[in-house]
Amino acid sequence: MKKQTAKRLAAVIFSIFTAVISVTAQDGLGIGRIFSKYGHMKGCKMVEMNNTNLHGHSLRVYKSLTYKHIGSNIETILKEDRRKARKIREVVDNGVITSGYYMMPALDDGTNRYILFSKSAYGSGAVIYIEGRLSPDDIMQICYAKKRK
Amino acid sequence: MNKDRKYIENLIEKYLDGDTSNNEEKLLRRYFTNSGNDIPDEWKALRALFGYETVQRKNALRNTRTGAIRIYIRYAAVASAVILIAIPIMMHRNGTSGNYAVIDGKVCTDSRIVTSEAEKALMMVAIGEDETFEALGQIQ
Amino acid sequence: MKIKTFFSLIVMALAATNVAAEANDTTLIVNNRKIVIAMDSAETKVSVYDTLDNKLTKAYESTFVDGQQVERIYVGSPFIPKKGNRKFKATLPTFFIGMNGLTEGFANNSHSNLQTRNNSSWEVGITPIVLTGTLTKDGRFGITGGVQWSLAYNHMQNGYIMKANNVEHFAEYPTKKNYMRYQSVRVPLIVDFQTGKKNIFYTGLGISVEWRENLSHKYKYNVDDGFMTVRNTQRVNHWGMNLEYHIGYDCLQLYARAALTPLYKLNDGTKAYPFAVGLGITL
Repeated sequence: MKKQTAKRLAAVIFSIFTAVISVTAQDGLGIGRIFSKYGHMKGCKMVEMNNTNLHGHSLRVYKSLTYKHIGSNIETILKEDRRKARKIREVVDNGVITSGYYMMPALDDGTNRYILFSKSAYGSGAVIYIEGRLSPDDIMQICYAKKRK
Repeated sequence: MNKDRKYIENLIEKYLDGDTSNNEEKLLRRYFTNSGNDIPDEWKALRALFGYETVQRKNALRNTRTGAIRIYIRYAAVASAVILIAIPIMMHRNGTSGNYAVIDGKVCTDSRIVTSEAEKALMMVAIGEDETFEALGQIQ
Repeated sequence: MKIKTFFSLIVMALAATNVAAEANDTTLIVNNRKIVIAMDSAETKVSVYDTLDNKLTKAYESTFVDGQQVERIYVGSPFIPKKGNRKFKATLPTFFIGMNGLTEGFANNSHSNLQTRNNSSWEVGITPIVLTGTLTKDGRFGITGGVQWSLAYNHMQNGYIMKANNVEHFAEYPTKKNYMRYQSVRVPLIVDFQTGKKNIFYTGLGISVEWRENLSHKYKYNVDDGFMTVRNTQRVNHWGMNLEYHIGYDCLQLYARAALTPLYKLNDGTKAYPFAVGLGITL
């Protein structure tokens, strides 16, 4: 009886802590480390929006980081996510990958995850993490749609 | 009276042989509790036994109820402690609930600034006026 | 044609051509574009090339390997209009006017031996030819060069005339007006920094080489008199080199020029170095 009680107690404590600590899905990806490590750094701008609407698409999570001078560090961490990606689209300019996106494995509830990136001169650039019920075509619309004059 | 005594005697013998049912044991306990001193001398030792058992049962029942309450109190205390610890952790992790921007280490919750910075990041990632990926659709 | 339709056709074409399981490339020509499909046990790669000036340029590539699809667009291909570098704006002024004086040394304020009135001296000029080139990819640094023509008027103190590399004083015949005039053809070369998108802020530092010609002196003693003109009576350094600087916003700029070599040298050894500060307009 006492052993059963102790087991139940441990399960309750564990489940509460798990709910507290494991907040978002991108924490399991390299990009989660990018946000936590560089999000509050000087020279960087981080934005987080939850359950928002962007360019007519409903997003569960939108998180972005624009940075300066730390491009090589970001690139190293993003390589890990690239290995796990299901689909990769990249733009190569003069032999250098300058921008693109990774479609990561979907979550258990069918929510898609995307990592978008862009590299500029002098180690600056941007990374964006998006979670939502979006197809790759929707990502193209959000991010790469032509400006209407 | 003699009939009752005979019946009780039979029940005692059955009890000592370990053959009594719960109801019969209940009956014996009631008899010894209510009889007072009006019992044969040879049964006084038995009265002591049934009286002890009655007290132990009451104590056991009281302890069971108390034990259950104690476990629930423990659960509640632990849960409260976890929640009290978790809330500051969650607040610290998220900074502020809802949408926010961190610019040079400073948190900003102004929705206009947050949206503006989000759009700027999208602009950096976007190819701009050249629909590079749409080139895929141009392959004819 | 959508990309999905395109790849469906690829698959059908593969089936039609009975592609072998081993690593052989299959090449298709579709509307002057070459499509190469390479398949082996590990990966499938589709590459699209376009012919430009008889050269094959890779435009697109798709690879399937280990359950991962990788698509790459190669910028610079005819499919994608190349994003031009930021245009570097020419910064030499189309028209300029300012003060042009003479001093006795580079960055030297003294001009007492020269007997000049720098406050009344001036110049005017135009830049008929301008060339520009970008030095950096972001278009912020570049070089501006060109050809300028200017006319300088250096006024002398009253009663002083330049004659044969000598400043002569005619106290009893004070001149009402006397000045030296010469023209220059100048080739500046300036390294500029520019910033801004629509209205550009810029600043630049450089040098210029100039040819000075037609130096003459004009003076008159009386208001009613005509000017006396004395030409080519002194030794002038025709070739000269200057230090140039300008700073401007949009079409307006301030410029400054200081000669590194003298215009002429007086018999007593005093050298005359031109300098100029003025306003320029870029049209």
